[in-house]
Amino acid sequence: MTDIRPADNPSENPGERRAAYALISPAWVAFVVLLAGPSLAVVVLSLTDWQLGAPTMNFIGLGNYEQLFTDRVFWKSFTNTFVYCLVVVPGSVFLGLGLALLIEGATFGRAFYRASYFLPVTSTLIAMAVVWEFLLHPSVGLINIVLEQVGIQGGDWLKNPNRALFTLAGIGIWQSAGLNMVLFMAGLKAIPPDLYEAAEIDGASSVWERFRCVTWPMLGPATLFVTVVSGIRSFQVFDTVEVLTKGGPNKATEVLLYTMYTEAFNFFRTGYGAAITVVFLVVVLALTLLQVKAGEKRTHYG
Amino acid sequence: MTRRGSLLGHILRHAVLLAGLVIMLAPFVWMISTSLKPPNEIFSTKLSLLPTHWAAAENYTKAFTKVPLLRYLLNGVIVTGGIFFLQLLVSLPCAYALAKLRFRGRDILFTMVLIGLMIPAQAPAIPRYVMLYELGLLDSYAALILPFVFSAFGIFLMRQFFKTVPDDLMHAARLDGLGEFEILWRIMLPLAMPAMLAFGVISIVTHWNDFFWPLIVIQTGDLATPPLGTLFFRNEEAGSDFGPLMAGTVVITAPLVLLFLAAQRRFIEGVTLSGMKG
Amino acid sequence: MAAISFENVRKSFGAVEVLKDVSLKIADGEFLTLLGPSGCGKSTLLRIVAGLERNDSGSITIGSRRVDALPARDRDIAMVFQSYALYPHMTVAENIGLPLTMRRMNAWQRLPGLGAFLPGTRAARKSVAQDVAEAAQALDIGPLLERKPSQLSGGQKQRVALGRAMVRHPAAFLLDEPLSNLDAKLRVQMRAELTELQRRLGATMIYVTHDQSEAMTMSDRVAVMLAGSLQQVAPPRQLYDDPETLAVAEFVGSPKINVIPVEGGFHAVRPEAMEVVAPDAAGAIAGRIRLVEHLGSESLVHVEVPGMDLPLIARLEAMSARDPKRGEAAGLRPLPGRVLKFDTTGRRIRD
Repeated sequence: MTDIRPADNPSENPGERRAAYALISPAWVAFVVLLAGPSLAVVVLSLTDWQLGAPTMNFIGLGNYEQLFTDRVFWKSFTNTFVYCLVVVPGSVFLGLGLALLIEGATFGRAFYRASYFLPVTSTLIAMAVVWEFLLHPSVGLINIVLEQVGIQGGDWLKNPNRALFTLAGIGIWQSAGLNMVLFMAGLKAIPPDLYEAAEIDGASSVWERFRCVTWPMLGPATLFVTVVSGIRSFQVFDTVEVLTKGGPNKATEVLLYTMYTEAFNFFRTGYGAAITVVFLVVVLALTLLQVKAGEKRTHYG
Repeated sequence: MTRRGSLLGHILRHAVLLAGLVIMLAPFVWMISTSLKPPNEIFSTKLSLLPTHWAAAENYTKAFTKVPLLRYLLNGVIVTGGIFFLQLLVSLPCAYALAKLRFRGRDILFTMVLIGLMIPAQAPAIPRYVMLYELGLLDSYAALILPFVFSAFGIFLMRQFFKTVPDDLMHAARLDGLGEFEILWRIMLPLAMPAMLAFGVISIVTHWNDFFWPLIVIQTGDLATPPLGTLFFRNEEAGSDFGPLMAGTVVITAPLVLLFLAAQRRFIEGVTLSGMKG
Repeated sequence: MAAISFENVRKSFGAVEVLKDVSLKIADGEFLTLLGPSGCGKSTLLRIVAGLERNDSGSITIGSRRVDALPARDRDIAMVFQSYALYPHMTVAENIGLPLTMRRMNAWQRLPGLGAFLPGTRAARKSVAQDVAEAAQALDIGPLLERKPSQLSGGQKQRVALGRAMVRHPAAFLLDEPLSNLDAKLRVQMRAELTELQRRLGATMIYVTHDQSEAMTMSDRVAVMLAGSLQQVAPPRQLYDDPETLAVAEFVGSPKINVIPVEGGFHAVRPEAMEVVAPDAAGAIAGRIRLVEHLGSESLVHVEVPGMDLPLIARLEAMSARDPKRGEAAGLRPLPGRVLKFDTTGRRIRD
């Protein structure tokens, strides 16, 4: 029997209502104390000059933000994060798409390839970062040794200020491509096979034409979704910076979350750190809203 | 997607995929390989996968004695286990109520959950830290576990699942004499196993790999989770003792890799459902 | 078993009034069907009796108790759902036994593992198993007791659902379109079995369906519901021969009764009460044969009449001398005394 009652219509059965409140109360409490409270507190803190352990806290309005937006380091950090995303997102999205297409079209070994390419996503990034540090070692690292075999001098990947950010981006692509691949594979599976058959009858039979006429358009929403998800993840880059470069050399790899971390938890300039957090939060929320919109299109498409 | 094409096309496809595979898995392979080698082979420019002189025993022993590796892994188990258990305790009843029961404020609560899904993990970090500081709970298991007990993702996922259970099942249960809690316990929970597993996989992997939060709240080596422990290890290994260092990373990485290989389907299910929230 | 009565039951969902002042008395041991199209409120009424919904006003009495304030579990009612609502993770035996387990063992005894050690648990479990076996025997599903619902066919699931209801020996059974998910042949078979079961148990049953042939073949009385009100409550034969309203006349009987608009209302004639005559015969309605359906045992002749949207239908026995052909001009004439007269509001005019 279909339920014609409006969703929020309170039940006339008092037992049901009481049970409901009992069942949701731990979640409500946890939500307020652990998520809602702190999220609001961050905004409030960003308007103060408080430092952890200090006896007084003063409201300074937008003072932290003024300081922030005139700070050279902040802007370097923000730009670096942005550049990092600009490299990792296209890189990992296209790589993910390419892998998904190649694997989905294979006649055997699909599960094997899928598992192998997805492995970096699940591995502990810090541990793998340490491994990468070794791989990238200027003299004994695998990468430079291999390059030397073909006559190229590798140089220093992490200590060169012009390269360091891109090196980290490379690791970022390595870690994310598998995730995007899996998401694209789900999208590819959702394309009805008769579309390809129809295209074939209409004359689009080559690989490229099938891709252009059917695959790419049908993947539109999935591509948007994956791109935004990638963007959000890249924007949150932190682990590799803390482990490999600590923001250096010379702030070349200083990223937003790292700046927030040092300000709030090394220097304990809590108010200032909160302001950075708010900036970070605003960007991520904007991207997440995009993700929601993209996600809706994904489910309603076709 | 149709799978056809020339033999050459297929050969090329697999060639490309295998080449890519080599690059993707190179860090893992090289990590294991190095953990088996003695220093002189590590520093030689000759490339080889397997050592001529097996130094596995020395490397791994050194790794385990330099820092409490097993302790780190144990902490990982305690922390992720504790988090997931508490998350279930909080999420399941709430998800069931949101999906099946009618009460005032239900839609508001669900909107809150959706908003919670959008907030990145690092945003509330500072106030949570301050709270723990004021409570004197910093540098403890509580600090590692408590902040994550509320899982918007878990509530969302379980609610979606509960919505697929037919209402008539609950009506029949009510007529059979079950109260609301008993319906949850005897009927809903057993049916929810697959969804709980998908949730579990995501939760455990996310929190096992979480570096940001433990870095902030933990000072004591003994309480370090695997990522933090790796950092401590790497810092201890100042210099170039790469053999034991790689051995250490093998030990740290192994559990998740094994979990993934064992539970691939659930894993990918969970990931696809969530778009792997950052 | 008990009698059930509801008086002046009203129910609205928001602005929509779903039940408009419904009153009905059902005798102990009676098989009563609530018949009506989708959305008429019959399922809602059933659920109100079960206690799954609460009525806005009016009273519900089961036996001699007023049950309005009682939760479902305390009303001594068993219900069979359209979807059977079997617990997928439990075996057939556990499904059937659950209502007994809930009632005969307390929370401690029900605990898995530990509960087994408490005094009385063993005896209770044994009595439950006994009753489950009995019910399974009666429904011929003994060999299925250890299976899970996913391993059962539609008909078998139906019986398990019935078993779960029967095992409680309730005051009454409520059945919400239990046969609609079965294929046609099985449905006919189950109809007979259900009727038999009801007779054997002497059970009071309230049966909800939109299928008028089910209602007609199974019930002691049928209550026809349209848009939230009871149109007529009567034994099937009476409903068919002596409908109170045009709506009832049209709802009951297949093919639909022939409705002819006349001055001051309508005349309605059953297809089998129509004879096929020459178009110019006295008292005949002239038209052209549009379609003849040969059903083997009988034929249905559809005659298109100018000025009427729907064709009139006559039912002829196969052995009839006439052999009407499509396209022929023909007339339909009601047999004497078989015309039912209704006024413009649809109410029956009896002369």
